[in-house]
Amino acid sequence: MDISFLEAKGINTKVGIEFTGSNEKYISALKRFFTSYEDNNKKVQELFEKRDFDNYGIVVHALKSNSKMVGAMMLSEVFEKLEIASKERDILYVKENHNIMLAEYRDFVELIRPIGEADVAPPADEIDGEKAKEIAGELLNALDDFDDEKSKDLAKKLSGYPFRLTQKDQLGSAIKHIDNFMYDDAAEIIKEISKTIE
Amino acid sequence: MKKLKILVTGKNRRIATDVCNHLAEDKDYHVIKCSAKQDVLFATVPQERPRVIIICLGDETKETIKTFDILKECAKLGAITLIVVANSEDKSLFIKYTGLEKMFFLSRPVSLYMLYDKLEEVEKKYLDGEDDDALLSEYVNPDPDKVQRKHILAVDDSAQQLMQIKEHLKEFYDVTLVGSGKDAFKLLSKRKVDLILLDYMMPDMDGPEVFRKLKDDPMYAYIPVIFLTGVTEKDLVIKTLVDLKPQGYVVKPSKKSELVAKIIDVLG
Repeated sequence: MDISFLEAKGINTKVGIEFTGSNEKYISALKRFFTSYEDNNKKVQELFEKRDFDNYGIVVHALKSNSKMVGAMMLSEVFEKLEIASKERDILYVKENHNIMLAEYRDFVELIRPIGEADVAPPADEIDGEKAKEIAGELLNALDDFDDEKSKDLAKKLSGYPFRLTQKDQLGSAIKHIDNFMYDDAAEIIKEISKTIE
Repeated sequence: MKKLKILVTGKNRRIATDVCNHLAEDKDYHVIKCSAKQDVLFATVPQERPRVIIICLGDETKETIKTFDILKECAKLGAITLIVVANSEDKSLFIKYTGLEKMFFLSRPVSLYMLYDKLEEVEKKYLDGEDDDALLSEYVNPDPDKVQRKHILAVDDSAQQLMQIKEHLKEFYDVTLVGSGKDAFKLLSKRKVDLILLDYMMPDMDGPEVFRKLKDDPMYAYIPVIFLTGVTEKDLVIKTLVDLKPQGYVVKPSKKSELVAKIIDVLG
C-alpha cells in the first residue's frame, strides 16, 4: 500500500515504521488507530465535559503514545501539551485547546481513512443456532482464558448467526470490548445474547 | 547461484575487518559486518538472516559475553552456525558465561584454512538444501517447539500499545494482554507468568499500585516487573522507581529491539 501521501502531509512514516517494526505492521497500526478513533474521541469528550481531568490526562497520555507510534508527531505533541496541562491543573489551557485537539485528531483520522477502510474483512459465514451455541461456549472459555486472538476469531464467527438487531448491536459492543482487552465486560454480553440463540 | 551469507561481529574490530576482507575477496561470500551491541545484533540478524555468524572476541567480560545471548532468540528464526574466534582467555570466559549451546571455536591467530574448511562444509549443506534442521541442531535445541516458551503478561489501558507489544514479542514469547490491574490479578490466579510489562499510568489501579500489590503477595512477589512509561512522566517515574525497585523500565512507544533487549536482560 502506498503511504507516500502521509509523508506529504508531514507524517513521519520512517519513525512509525521504526516503532512498529515493518511497513506492513505500520499499516496495521494505522488501521488500529483509525478503528479506535470513535471510542477514544467519545471517551476524551465525556471526561472533558465531566471535568474529570485526572482521567482526561490518562487518556490523552495514551493517545500521545499511540500517535507517536504511528509517526503523527505533531498530533502527539498536541496530546502531550494537554496531558501536562491536565496534570498541572492548568484548566484554562485544557479548555482553550481541547477543541483544537479534537479537530487535529479528526483531521489525522480523516487522512488515514483510505488505509483504515481498505481491505475490510468479509462478513462471517452464516451459522445455525446449534453451531452458534457451541461457538458462544467456546468464546466464553477463550474470554475466561484471556485469549484475545481466539476470542476475536470466535466473536467474528458468532456474528454469522442471524441475531436480531438489538443482539447484533450487543455483539458489536462485545467485539469492541474484546478489542480493548476488557474480557469480563465482553463475557457478560456474550452470556446475555447466548440466551437468545435458538 | 545463492551465496552463503555471513555476518561478522565482535569487539575485536581488527580481526573482524580482516576476516570480512578475506571472506569477501577470497571466497565471494555475502559478508555483513555488524557492531557487537545487543540491540544492533537483534535488529540486524533477523533482518539479514545470515547462515553463519562469526564472533571475533577481544578483552571480553561477563557482561560483553552475555550480549551475544540475543543470538539464541535470533536462531529460533532459522539455521545459524556460530563460529567464535578467540584467544584462550576469552574462550574460557565465553564458555563460562554464554547462554548459547553449541558453537565452533577458532583460535587466534586465525587459520583461514580451517575457517574456509568449516564454511565450505556449511555451504555444501546450504546449497544442498539440507541446511535448516542440520545446522540449527549444531548449536540450538534441535526441536525449538519443545522448548517451554516464557510467558509475558502485558498490562496497559491502551489497546493499541498492547497490540504493538504483542506484535513485538509473539515471535519469542507467549504473550497475554490485559487492560487493567484487576484483570492482571485475575490472570495471575490462573496462569504462571514469567515477567510482567506494566504500564505506569492507568485509570483506577495505576502501575505503582499494581506493583505494590504484587510485591505484598508472596505468590507473585518473585515475578519480575518492567514498567512501561511515556517520555513526559519519565523523570517522575524514575524517582518512583528508586523506591519501588522494579527490574527496569521501557519508554513507550518502544522499538522491538529495545523491548526484547530489556526482557532478555531480565529473563536471560
